[in-house]
Amino acid sequence: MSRKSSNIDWAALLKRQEAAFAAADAPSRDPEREKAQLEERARQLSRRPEGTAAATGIECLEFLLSGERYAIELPYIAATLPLTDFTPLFCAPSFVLGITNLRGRIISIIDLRRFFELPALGLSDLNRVIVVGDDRMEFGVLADSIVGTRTVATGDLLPVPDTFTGPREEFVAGVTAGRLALLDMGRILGDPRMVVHEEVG
Amino acid sequence: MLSNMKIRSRLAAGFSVLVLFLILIGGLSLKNIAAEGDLLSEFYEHPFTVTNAIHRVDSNIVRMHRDMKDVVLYAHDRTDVENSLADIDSCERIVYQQLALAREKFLGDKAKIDQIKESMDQWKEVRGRTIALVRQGKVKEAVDFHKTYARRTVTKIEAQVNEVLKFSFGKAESFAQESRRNQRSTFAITAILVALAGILAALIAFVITASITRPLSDAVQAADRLSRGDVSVEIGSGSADELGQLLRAMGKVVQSMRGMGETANRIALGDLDVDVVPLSERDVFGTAMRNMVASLNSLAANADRIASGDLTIEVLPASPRDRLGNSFRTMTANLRNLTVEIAEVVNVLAGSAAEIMTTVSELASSSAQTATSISETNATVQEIRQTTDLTSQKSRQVYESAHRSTQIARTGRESVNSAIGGMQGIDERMGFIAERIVNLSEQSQAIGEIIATVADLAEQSNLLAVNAAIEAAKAGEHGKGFAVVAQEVKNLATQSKQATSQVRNIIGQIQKATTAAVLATEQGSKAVEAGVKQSSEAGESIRQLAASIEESSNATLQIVTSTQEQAIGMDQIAIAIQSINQASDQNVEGSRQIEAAARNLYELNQKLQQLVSGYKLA
Repeated sequence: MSRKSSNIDWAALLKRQEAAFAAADAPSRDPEREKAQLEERARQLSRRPEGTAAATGIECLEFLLSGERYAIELPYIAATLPLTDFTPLFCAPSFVLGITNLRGRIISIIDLRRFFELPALGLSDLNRVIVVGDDRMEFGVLADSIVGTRTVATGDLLPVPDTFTGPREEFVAGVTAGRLALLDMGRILGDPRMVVHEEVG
Repeated sequence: MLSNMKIRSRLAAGFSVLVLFLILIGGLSLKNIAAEGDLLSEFYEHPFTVTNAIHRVDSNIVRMHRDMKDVVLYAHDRTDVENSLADIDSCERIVYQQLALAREKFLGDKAKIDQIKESMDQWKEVRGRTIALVRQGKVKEAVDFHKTYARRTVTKIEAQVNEVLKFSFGKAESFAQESRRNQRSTFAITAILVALAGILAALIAFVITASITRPLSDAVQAADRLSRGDVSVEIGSGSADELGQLLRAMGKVVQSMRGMGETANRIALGDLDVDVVPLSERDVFGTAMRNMVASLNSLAANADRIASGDLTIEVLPASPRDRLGNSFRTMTANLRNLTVEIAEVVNVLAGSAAEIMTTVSELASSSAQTATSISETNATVQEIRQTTDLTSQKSRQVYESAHRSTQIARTGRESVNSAIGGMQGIDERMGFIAERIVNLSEQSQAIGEIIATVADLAEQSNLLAVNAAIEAAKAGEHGKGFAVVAQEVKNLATQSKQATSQVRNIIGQIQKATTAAVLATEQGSKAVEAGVKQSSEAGESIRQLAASIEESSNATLQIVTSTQEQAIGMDQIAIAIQSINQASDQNVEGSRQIEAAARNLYELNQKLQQLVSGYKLA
């Protein structure tokens, strides 16, 4: 029995352990890799001016909602923030998730999935709130995740397909070939349904 | 000559001759009987009449004399005297009457009868005087007188009567002698004649009888032989009489019977082609023969069909008493049933024979196998015999080695005890290792928490970058550079996030590894426990082993002795197997014979099946 356990090469194990410690103490930055990364970024940046110059596009923020890609024009967006804490409102329509505090201001949060009558998912930590508004209205739109800003060429927008029905058809400005639905935010903000006025006796 | 006469005329002639003889004898006899009768009547009328009459005369004279004495003696009694006198008178009348009759019939000198009559007259005178004296009462004188005269007279009469009687008797004697002579001659003649007639009758009877009986006996003999069925008799047609006709007719009968016999013989020999023609419409025998041949022919035809295997025929008996027909029908029906049954039986038999054949083949092969096995067994027994000797030696060695094993087991137990101590030390080390590993796991958990914070920071940086980009967009042309910075910040945040997720993956792997290590140490600990337990068990086993080795060594001693007994037993077994081997050889031979017999049975059954299938049943 004792002979069998001696088959373990303790010396090799110790050597591996020392090598691991040495690797942990050494600076983790790899100069070559960093350089390659920077070069890549530079290439991307140098390509961008060509795309923007060619098309007078619409600057917008892309986000995911129930697995579908949506976009909101940047001029309407005030800020994005994580959904950290909110207070549900009773006697409000189902698409009103609740209210939250944004740097001292109270804003309502709208769940577009319910508004668009999409299959609703539960909330998660990754949920983000995009604060939109104009001079008439301001509220937060709930998003599954935020992809980032992008520019959509005006010519790329296609008419709304037949699969978009109900309120969705009404509030979608256009769809790109990459199935990115651009929301008509001005119309949503001006919609009377967004104004909730209900008295509970 | 005689044989050509009709029997009737022959008999008539014979009887006529006999009748003539009878008439002749009868006439002669009648004549002699008549002469005898004459003689007898003469005999009766003359001498006998005379003697009878004289006898009566004599007796009456005696009576009269006695009466006269009475008269004389009892003269004093008047009535008595008178009665006697009356009696004397009546007697006297009878005397005279008889005398008259005698005179008439007397063949001799009639003067003698007259002399008697005269004497009677004299006596009457004497009597008259006596009676007169009595009546006068002169009894004494009457007695004297009577005595003197009466006696004399009566004596004289007596003498005369006797003379007549003598003559008459002589006469009768001569008559009787004549009659006897006569009778003798007649008897002789008649006897001669009767004898002659008898001889003649016998002659005639013999001749006629012979002429009738000879051919008749021939016929009887022939009929007798015929009645016994002998038709070989030859009957000659000799005479022209009725017997000749009878014999000729019998000859014809014999002829026809001989023909019938030949025909019957041919039928008996099975020749049914004979053509029987009845002699007449009333020839019962011929018709019956023809019918018999016809019926036999039809039966033969049916039999031919049956012989050719056709059992569908229905035989109709000629009559309810047609035994052959009935038998034939019954036979056909039985044959049909029998054939059906035989067919069934043959089928069953076929199956059975096949089964028997299979079984016998198996038996034969198994017998052969048995024989092989037995010879193998024999060889094996020899080997075992040798092995037994080996066993005897080996068991002795085993006994010695068992002793050594006991000592080895003792040292083995000590070693096991020290092994148990070492293992308990290993168990403690294992616990220590497990504790350390768990500590490591907890520390990696702390790293995970830190990484979560870093990830949160990265996420917030990302959002911050987005907001910065939005702000840069709002700033328009002046915000362009800021937009680039915001993009860089966003990229950094993304990279940070990727790094944190990689770190989290590594931590997860470390945690899995530590868990596995803890589990491994736990298993090691359990293995050590099991090792301790097994070592204890091993120690116990070694102890038991030592005990059992001791038992074994004792047993081995017993084995040594019993192996020697076994060797003797193996020799006996070898002998027994030798005899089994012989029996098995016989068995194999027998099963081979049975197999041959079963094959014969099978072939026989095949033939039987072919035979039975040759019968048409419906």
